[in-house]
Amino acid sequence: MNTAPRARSARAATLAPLLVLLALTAATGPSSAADDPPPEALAREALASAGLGFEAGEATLRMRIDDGRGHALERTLTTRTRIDGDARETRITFTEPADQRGVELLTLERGGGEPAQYLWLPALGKATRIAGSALGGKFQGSDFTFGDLARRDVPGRFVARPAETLGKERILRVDVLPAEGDGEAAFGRVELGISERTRALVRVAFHDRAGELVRELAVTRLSKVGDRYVPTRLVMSDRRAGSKTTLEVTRLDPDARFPATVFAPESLGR
Amino acid sequence: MLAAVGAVAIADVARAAAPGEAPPDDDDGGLVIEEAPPAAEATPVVALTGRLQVGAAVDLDVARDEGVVDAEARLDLLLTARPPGSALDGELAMGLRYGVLVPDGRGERGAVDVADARFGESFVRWRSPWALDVSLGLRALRWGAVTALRPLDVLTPVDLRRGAAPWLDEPPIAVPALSVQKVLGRVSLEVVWMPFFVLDDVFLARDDWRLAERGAVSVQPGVARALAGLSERELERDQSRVILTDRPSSGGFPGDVAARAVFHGDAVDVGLVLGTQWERVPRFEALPSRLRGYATHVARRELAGLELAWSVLGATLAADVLYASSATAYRADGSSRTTSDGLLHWTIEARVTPAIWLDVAVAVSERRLLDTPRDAFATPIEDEDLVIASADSWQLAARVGLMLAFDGAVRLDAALRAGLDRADWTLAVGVTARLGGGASLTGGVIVFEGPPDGLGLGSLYDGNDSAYLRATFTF
Repeated sequence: MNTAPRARSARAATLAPLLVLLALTAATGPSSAADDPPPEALAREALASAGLGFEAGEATLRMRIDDGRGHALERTLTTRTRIDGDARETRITFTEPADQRGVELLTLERGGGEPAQYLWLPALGKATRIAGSALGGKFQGSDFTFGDLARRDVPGRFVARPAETLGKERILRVDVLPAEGDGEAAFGRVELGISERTRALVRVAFHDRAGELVRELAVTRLSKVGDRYVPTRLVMSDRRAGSKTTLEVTRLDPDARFPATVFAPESLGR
Repeated sequence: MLAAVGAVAIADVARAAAPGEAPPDDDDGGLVIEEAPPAAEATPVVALTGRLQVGAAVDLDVARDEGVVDAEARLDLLLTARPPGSALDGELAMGLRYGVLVPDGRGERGAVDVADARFGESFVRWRSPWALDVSLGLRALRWGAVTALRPLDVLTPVDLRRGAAPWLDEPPIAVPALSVQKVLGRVSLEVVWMPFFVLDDVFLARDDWRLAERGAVSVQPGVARALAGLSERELERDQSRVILTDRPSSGGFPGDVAARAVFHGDAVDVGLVLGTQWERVPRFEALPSRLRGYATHVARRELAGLELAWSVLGATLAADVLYASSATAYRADGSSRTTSDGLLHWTIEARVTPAIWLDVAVAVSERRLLDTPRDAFATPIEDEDLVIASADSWQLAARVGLMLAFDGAVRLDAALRAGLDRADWTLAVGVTARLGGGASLTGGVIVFEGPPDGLGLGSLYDGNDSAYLRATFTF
């Protein structure tokens, strides 16, 4: 088994919104593959390595939204992220197309609670706080939700599944099931795929409580940044709507650092 | 409101490809593992962006003596400088505007035009590594938590010469300012000093125009419309204009000083605003014959305000409260009256987005002169065709955004603004179609209704209903 180094200090400005969903406060389930690490540890490692949400630094991303009916939108955005202890602050600024330029979303995650989010629309001229319950709303019309762009605790049980092969890569699989007695979980099962060699999360599949696959996140490119691999292109598909959104990192500066004032809601639009 | 974001953003935002023109998809669905991060692209140090708007409005009140077509072109440019790795950055913004009024021929007036240029926010900023920003230049600060009927928007003067639609806030006028911002954990602090006195801008050129209160004058379809009551001969006498731009003559600390502290909690933001400022009244540009006198006295006043934003039950509730130690009413005969007990202005607003395609906001506001019996200023004053500031009033504002296409390509916006104690209202409805490539087309109507002798917005502009069409190109 490859044990690629995964130094937490190597914080890359990557997007891994995916993982948002699972900020693991989970109970451990049984492992079915004796040679593989325990599923909870494996999942935790992959999620931590991928860096839930955007990590420190600056990145430029290209977003492509296909509505499944032949229409497509393309947008470009920059992310700036600052990590201070348990706090993670992410500021997303849309730069293209022109008539979307200047739209900003600020996400403040502090200590595991619901993240606070603020939106800046140039036409409005001021930042407005966003209601937490809207976290399930689609972000900029994409297949990502606002909640995908923030960390949230999702209690669950981790269950190992048989590994599979994707190209030359061996993919370890872990299912996350709702905690016992949790009748309000958003999904009935979340399936994780983890690259054995890189220990990076490469697939997240969301099944509803009836077992139907409703959303799927696939990492289609991993890039080595420092001493670990981070997702730099991923696709979120809405199986019911037939739409999908591709996010690709086109520029990455993991060493960029920003003062706290950049992440003040009052600074949006300035 | 979060979803509002989505809805608004999508609607506001753009489409890179026109319907049916899906760009090629380069995603092959496989997994690629690279041993290096994506190559860094050069970030432009200086960028120039802008927006061009061209539009026209026509009268819907055909019974008027003379109808007009009001056309305007406006170019907004923004130059930004962000040197990589530098703690200094800056912006330079400018707006250029040209408007023309073309009468329909039933009267004697000819076409008139107006042109001007104005700087927008233009400043240099130093972002220190100690969570302390210092900026110097022209700033347009908009404080407070509510988005309509904003009580705490008292630091920045507004340009009311070009009214558009009620859902659009008054365009701010950037004023010279020194601003210091500091972040301490969850608390954001900002202190601003604005040394120069700058008035709101309003065109007054019609005998029957009166200003009821700040923020209620922004609806006239255009500058040219404002000039509709003037003859060509009068317009040629620019030298005779009365422009009240004098700085306050009384003493006191030079300029406006204000501070704002906001605590950002997990679900609640709470802010405190304190300040001292010259009370701002509009600057008039009109002919002496139509402005029989004017006041030059400007009172100084202290400000205290609270702001609150609370995310609860799927909505965002916001509230702003302002207390000002004085408020002055100015009249066309040159007299003025300053209250001794001050002014209280509060607004409560609820914003909700029940679905991604629907965005709703409702606000209720009261403004009260504390030492004045209710309605004392709400009654029209004989032979005084100009009353500025501050009748007591209750107002309601509602805004609905409805996305009519999946990707926000077509969006409907409607806004209602009503004087609850004046029985008047204003309704604006517009549809915007995104055409791709940064272009969009907006068309709509604005309707005013109110009792003939009322001081509310609907009364002031009753009979000025209009329909408009506007093309926008963003680059």
